[in-house]
Amino acid sequence: MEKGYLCIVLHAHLPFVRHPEYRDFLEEDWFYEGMTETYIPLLDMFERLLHEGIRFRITMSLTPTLCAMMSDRLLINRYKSRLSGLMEFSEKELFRTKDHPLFHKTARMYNAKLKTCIKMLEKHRGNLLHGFKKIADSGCLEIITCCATHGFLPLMIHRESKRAQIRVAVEDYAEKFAVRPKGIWLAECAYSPGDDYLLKESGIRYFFSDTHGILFGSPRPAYGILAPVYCPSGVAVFARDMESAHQVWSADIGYPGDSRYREFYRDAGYDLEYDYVKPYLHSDGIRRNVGFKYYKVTGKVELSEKQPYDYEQARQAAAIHAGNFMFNREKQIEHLYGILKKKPIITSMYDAELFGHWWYEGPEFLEFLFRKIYYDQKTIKVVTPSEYMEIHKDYQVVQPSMSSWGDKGYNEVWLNQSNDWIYRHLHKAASLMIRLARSNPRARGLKKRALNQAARELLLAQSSDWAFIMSTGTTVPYAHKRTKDHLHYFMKIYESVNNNSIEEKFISELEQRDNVFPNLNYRVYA
Amino acid sequence: MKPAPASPVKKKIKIDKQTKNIYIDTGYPLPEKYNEDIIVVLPRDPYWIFVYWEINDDTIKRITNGYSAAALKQSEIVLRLHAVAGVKVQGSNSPRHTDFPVSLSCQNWYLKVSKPGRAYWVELGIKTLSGNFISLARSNRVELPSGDVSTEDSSEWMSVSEKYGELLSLSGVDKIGASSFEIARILAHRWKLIGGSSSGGSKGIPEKGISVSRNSGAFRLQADADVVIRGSTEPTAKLFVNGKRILIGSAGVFRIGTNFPDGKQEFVIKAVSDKGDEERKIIITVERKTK
Repeated sequence: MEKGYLCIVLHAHLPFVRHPEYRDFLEEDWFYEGMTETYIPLLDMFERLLHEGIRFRITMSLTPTLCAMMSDRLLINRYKSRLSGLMEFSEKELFRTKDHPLFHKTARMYNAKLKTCIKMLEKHRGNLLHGFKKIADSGCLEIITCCATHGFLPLMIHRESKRAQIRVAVEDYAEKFAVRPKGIWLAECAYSPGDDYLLKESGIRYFFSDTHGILFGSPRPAYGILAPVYCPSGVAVFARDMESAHQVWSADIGYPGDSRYREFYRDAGYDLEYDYVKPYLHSDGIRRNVGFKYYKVTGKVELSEKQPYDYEQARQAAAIHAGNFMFNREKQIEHLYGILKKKPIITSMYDAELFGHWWYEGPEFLEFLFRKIYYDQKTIKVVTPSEYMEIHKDYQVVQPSMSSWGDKGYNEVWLNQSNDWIYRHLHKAASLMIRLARSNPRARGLKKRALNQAARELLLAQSSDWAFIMSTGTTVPYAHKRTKDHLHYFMKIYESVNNNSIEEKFISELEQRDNVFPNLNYRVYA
Repeated sequence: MKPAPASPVKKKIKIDKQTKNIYIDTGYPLPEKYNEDIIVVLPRDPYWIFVYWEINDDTIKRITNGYSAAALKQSEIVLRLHAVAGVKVQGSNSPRHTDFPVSLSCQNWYLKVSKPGRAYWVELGIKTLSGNFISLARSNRVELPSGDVSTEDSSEWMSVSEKYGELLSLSGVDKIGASSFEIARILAHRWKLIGGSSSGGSKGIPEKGISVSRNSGAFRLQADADVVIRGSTEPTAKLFVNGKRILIGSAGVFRIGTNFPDGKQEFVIKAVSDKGDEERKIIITVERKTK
């Protein structure tokens, strides 16, 4: 009989980046790389485990913007041509590396992985969501939603704005997965008191918070973060376990820093002869990552000192780390069970893109972990939050504290001197959107389309990703562009609706470009 | 807290420096103002509030109409921070409001509060020499998090309280840097030490140097510093500080305030003539070391 539960949660998110107006757009790479390195390998792994009858459990947020991109024909077609380019490169690499056994082994690995990507896309008719849904139907995967465009709720001053982020997400989920979501990942785990009532309204039963969201809640949580609590609204919260987070995330002791794992920053796009890699770079011809990396972390040495990567050794490391992770959870759970006389739940939350994209062997680590948990132990039971909630129903009522999982735990990453200027405009646009929705209760035809598009532009401007990028200081101009462009389009629509001068051509252009949430209804802001 | 992954850069940030210079489309310009009177506060963390505002010149004229020139002489614009009564007042005798002098044209400000875990609102107004306060605009209300373990117990809590420290430690709280029950409060502790510093800094590493306290018994010392950048240019010029447009007053005067964490900060102050044909630049570098 198990002594406690482990709930593994992956947050899969990318902002909506789709530029049909350009033939080749750099930031779309985020999606293509995510597909190749994270989303496809994870789905492939889930399918393999299920096929072998291994009943694993994982909870994943697939954000509405990521879902929109995964099911977008233009992006998928572009991704396919990207894949065929990389396949061609991979064939050349097999030839180039033929006299170097270790490099050749790695080249073969890339070749095989790319083939898997192509196969998986075909299998799921170009839409991975079909695949994820199948796994979800088996009960091994619980897919949850997220704020519609990853909007940062604590920095919104209009309740209607927050509500729209939730409702649009829930409706979108229902369209894509044919059921309503039970849980939500609040963007950046950012919560402020009262937001839970909006979740309740939309039928959501639970969400996640960072550790201190619950530890600093009021009254004191009786079981710390080792049991969920109910918000005053009756929505449950599961808080992040720091120990298991630390084992994976920590820059010093985290698993991904192991010397045998693949080095992210040493990429063939920079290493190989320019004319040889040029056809696989962007049209501007600047050297960038192409995703073929032949070196391992090695140790704390210069990039030029890195040693060749050996895929099999890295796999062994992943297996050992999975064993270590499981052992630590067993000890943690046994000890807690002794103290609490009650089965604790350990909630381990990570960015999905950590697995595969940053930590290349991450998906294999998870696969080993699920296999080991299934075959080798009896202490831990892996669960999803709703499964846990089926078994245990009595929780303490706690008002969680405002919190986020960003640096320093609150709102500063999204509110500092690099990005604070956006809120004046975002709030203004939100107040105008609410006014538009209220003064046009029954818009039809072109006006309705214009109002719906205005709502999309506002939602896209609200993505927390833009403020985050401004904060980190890399690719800032793009974040500025996205914030300002969407606000600009919003204002143009607003004025044209007010002046009765809506231009069909303009609206239809925007509808084709910013085509997220095709069935959105602007009345969500009324 | 979300620490950085083993690689020091987060997802989405994988475009190397070269591209920065190539991508120059920074989007359509935004309106400089919306011609309305508004003041809004946002919570940043347990100790800091962000305020932004816009007040029309006409509004100021209208509101100050009834006052004599003598009364307005030497008056100053202030942000008046009000603590909301009845929300977790912990027996303090601190004044119900605090004034922060600002310039109308700087349009935003960060305010530091003395007590977290309370609700606040802000009023923008003119404070005359005689102490009168002429209100220009009132903000929304914001509730700041307490940043600490709640003092409020529940009955269930009692049953496991003896082992609460161990329990928290086993939740991995001690992994942030220490052991024992006290360290279950590590986040709170860190917040008190740094008082909510504003600078970026590397992830997860507490920063020194904001509002340092040396308290021992009744003898107190607290010190902190802010940076104020002020100056004047042609009234028709456009002024930028670190690329961000700053609205200037009608006489060409400007003043912006910002908090001042440990470390070096550079402020590039640039004025561009209204025709865009002339440009003047002054760079001020400040460095703070707190010991």
